Amino acid sequence: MKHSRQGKKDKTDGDDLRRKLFPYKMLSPFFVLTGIFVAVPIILMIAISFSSMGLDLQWEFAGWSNYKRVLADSSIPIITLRTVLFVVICTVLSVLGSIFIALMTTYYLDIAYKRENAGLLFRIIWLIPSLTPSVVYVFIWRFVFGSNTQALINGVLDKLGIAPVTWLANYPMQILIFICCLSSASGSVILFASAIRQIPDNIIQAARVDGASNFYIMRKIIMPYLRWPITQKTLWSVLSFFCTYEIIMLLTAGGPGGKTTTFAYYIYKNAFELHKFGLGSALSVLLVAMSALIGLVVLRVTKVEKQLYPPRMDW
Amino acid sequence: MKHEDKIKGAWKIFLFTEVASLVVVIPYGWMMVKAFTTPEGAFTLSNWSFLYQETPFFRGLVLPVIWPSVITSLIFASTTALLQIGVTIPTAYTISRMQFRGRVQLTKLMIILDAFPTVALLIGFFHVLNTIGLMNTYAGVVFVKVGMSLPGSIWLMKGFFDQVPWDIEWAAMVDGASRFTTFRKIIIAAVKPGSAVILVNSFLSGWAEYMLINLFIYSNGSTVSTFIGLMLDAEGKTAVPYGVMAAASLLYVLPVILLFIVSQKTLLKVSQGGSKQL
Repeated sequence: MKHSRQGKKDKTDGDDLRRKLFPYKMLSPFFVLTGIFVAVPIILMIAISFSSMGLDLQWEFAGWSNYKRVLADSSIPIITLRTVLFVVICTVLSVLGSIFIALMTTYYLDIAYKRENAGLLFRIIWLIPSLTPSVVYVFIWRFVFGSNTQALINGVLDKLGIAPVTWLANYPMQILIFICCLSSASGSVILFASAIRQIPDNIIQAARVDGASNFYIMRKIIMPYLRWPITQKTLWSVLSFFCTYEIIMLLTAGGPGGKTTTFAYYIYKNAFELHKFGLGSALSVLLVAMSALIGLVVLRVTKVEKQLYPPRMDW
Repeated sequence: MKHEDKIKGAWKIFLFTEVASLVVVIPYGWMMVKAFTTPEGAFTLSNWSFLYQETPFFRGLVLPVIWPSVITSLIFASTTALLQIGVTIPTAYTISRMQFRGRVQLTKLMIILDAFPTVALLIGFFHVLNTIGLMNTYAGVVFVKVGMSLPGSIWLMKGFFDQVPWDIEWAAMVDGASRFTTFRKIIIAAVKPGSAVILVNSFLSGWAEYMLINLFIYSNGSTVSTFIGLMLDAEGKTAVPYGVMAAASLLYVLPVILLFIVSQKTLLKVSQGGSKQL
């Protein structure tokens, strides 16, 4: 891959050095920003986990005591189990849900029935939840599931003469899963829709000429094309559900009675409500360790070396 | 003829999709209705009083006029978007199109950082911002926010740089331009759709930001998100009228949806991003 050009043959050593340094100069803003605002916080997280730091930010060495407290904390196993269930259920439902919507809007409406405007309209409707800022998104659902008769569902029940139900107190986890799934599914409809649209038209036409039903085409032609987006979306969902805390904080604040406290929210609560930075950092280290496992899978699946193309010039 | 038959059957799918979409349409539709009605259901504009006057809501707390918050949100979101794109472009270009020591490792690091749980970094952010004196400043929140979301946007942008033909770069350099000049004048123009995607996405994410502002900025109601958050905290315990919250929410969401509809041609085209199927 040598593309040395005549005009540049007479380069000096200084030129050479400048060229070698050029990529690093281009990367320097990234290094500075990520160094100060990502790398340092990561190091601090580990350091603070060995201290009993509170809101006053005083360093006080505490050895392994935070980790011992985490191990001794009887709520940790329950929280971890709840987190795993939450992540698995949400991931499965949101991936299936978004594939379903993408198939309906893009395959059936756009391709099979040529109703492209309807397809686009529904795709935009389905994008709205993921475009909604989290405060508003949670407000809307708190309003739907609110406990008084001003709220949507209870208002309807009231009109029908049925006593209001305290939805968020009785079914907090179900509601949390529902709203998390909806926003996540909404965010990935485009991903699947564009994957479906990239399938060569003649393949689908050929199958149709051969008399294949829509369902058969979906299963045997479209699904194989969706394998990579599904992998991508699944891994990404696992990671993001694993770290979900903002919606939980806004919707239920982990309650009632800790029923919706996941691992990520538990960290937030310890650190920013109880101001136990030391304990919160120890928990964070554990969370990072767990998500690193998922991160390694992502890394394997992504095959970095094959995604980097050799530059086609010397300089 | 068979083709015609198939098209006739569309109403079933249409109905089916429509019913499924009600899950989105009803709550959002109801919010819009609520924003213009009293609790009893009569039409009113009084829910929008935060547009022009301070509105008392509970225990002596007063809802301020919303415009300062809107302006703060706009500035915050634009700054975030500009910093994001400013750092993303040179980094993504270098990773995509240059050979240097540590290229593979840096890319792997990028993927790992992208997968890094944000909540684990909050305590570190708190400490860093406090140490360098950016606590309770928007600059600090912008840096933190951009720092966190850079890996994802760099990876996305790398995919756009990968697609730029090498001939363009060769041609410019044969004409005597330096690599940096080529990058600045030619290559950046070739990845405009990618830049648009990142600008819009990071603007929207800055506009929507709640958690970091809530944690690291002390004054209440400083952006639209915390303005609404102020009411949300009180929901359930007090009688903040749903209508007022709905009105504020509508004001907050509408620009997002409008911006999206305006830019959807660009955004919908390119959602696959940096990683491709292997």
